[in-house]
Amino acid sequence: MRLDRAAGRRSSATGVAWVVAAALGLSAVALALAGLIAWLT
Amino acid sequence: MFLRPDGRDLGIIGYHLGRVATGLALLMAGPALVALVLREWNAATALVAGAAVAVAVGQFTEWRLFTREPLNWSHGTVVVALAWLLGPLLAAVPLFLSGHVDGFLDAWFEAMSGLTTSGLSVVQDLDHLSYSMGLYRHLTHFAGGQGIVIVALSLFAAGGGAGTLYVAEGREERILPNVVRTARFIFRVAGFYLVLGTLGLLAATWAAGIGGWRGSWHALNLFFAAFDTGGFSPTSQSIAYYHSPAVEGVIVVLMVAGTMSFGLHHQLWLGRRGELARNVEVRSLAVTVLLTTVVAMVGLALAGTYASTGGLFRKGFFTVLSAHSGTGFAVTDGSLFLSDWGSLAPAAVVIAMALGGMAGSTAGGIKAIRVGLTAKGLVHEVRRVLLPEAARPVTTYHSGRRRILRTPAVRAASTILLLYVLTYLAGALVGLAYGRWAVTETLFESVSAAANVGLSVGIVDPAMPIALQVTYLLQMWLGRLEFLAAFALVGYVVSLVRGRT
Repeated sequence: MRLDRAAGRRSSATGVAWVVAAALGLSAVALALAGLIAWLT
Repeated sequence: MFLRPDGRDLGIIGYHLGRVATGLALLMAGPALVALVLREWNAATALVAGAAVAVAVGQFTEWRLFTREPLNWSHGTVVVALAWLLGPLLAAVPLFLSGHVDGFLDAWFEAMSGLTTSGLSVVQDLDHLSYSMGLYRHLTHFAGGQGIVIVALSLFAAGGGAGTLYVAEGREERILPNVVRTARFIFRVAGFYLVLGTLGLLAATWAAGIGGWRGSWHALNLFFAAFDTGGFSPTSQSIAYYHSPAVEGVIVVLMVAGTMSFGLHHQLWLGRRGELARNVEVRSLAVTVLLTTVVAMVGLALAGTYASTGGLFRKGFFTVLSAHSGTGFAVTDGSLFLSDWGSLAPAAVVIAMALGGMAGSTAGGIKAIRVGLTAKGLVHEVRRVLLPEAARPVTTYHSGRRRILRTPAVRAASTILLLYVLTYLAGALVGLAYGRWAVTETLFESVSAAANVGLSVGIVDPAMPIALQVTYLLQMWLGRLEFLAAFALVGYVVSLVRGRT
């Protein structure tokens, strides 16, 4: 039971970490595009 | 010819609608308790009265219509369609009694907007709404948001051919093997994000200068509105009120989490990170978000509204993500979309709103899976034309596992896509009929309502025409149900009148 809970916590942390990474990745690309557009115009 | 439903069928439907009423009473109970603790007597009275009405409806159906008979497919679709139409009527009672809306239609509109996670608001003097009523308003996002996901994943996804029409992707299996476990997983994910997201927003609002009890209230309400892609906000200025990159940053993460399907959350919780790179919905969403962001930013730069990198990123990207995820948070006053944003940037926002997030999430709109499958279907057709006649090209896509693209899935996806476009246009035409607004304004507002987004250029207002308000209300309902359940309800009503006995 204790092992199950530990695995549950680990899996949820992994899931959230990947969502945060996806959001940060998307934001980073958008920021780079904003920089490029600001520079070009 | 359909069979005419008998009293037993109507009893089953009524009994389950009664259970929805009891659920809504529970939804009002929490804020009612908050109102009593904070001694907000007006709000407490309104919430207790609303809960009493909902309990009365629930108990009446329990008393008169109790049944142990399970729902069949047609009962289920009718219950879902009616629950999303009549549930907001009950949820409207406390809002109506709060004195912050002008009549019951406004209250119904607000409740429909909350439960469908749209975020269009007709509340008057929002900045002076009581804490408990504000909490109730945002809780409707959470209840409606998690509710529709469970409906979509548990009921429709198990519905064979009709289920295929609903999700339009051939996803016959549920996330987990039964409804209870699916619901439990969804609430586990939501609970996890509730703690993390609220803490993140608490820190961000504290850094923005709103601390203590008030900061906690802002953080919790913002969480419900962001994670459930709702768009209500505690103040009339939406996110612009905070002037805070930290608040906007946490909200960006929550909007991305909210617009992701729970199927994808499940894959990521299982450690299958490869799904992020391969999943057709992730790819489709990433491409359309970035494309609409670029168009919006170019439009803003050419209009001279925001010339700096920071301005383009904070206004352009945030607004497009808010629109695309179906959230509807604003970092700029809605009237500026038309006066200061030029013509290209608002067009990008409208396209982003129209496309929407992932199926099986709380986001509205056409949905990334349908956009992805329609695009793949188009490429497949082009390949078929270009290849030799004897060749039989096979196109695949990834959604949980590798799947072969089949014609029925593409046809279903493009049918729903077309229905959304027609709904957007119909709402815009009704707005145009008044002769007070330009097509850009009416299209913006219509897409925002039907895609359950909530951004507004100002047409949605307590003083808006009644027929237009009813149109947007029905659009929010249709968009939330993604048509099938609404059509089933119409079919059911027809069979009541003309069905074979």
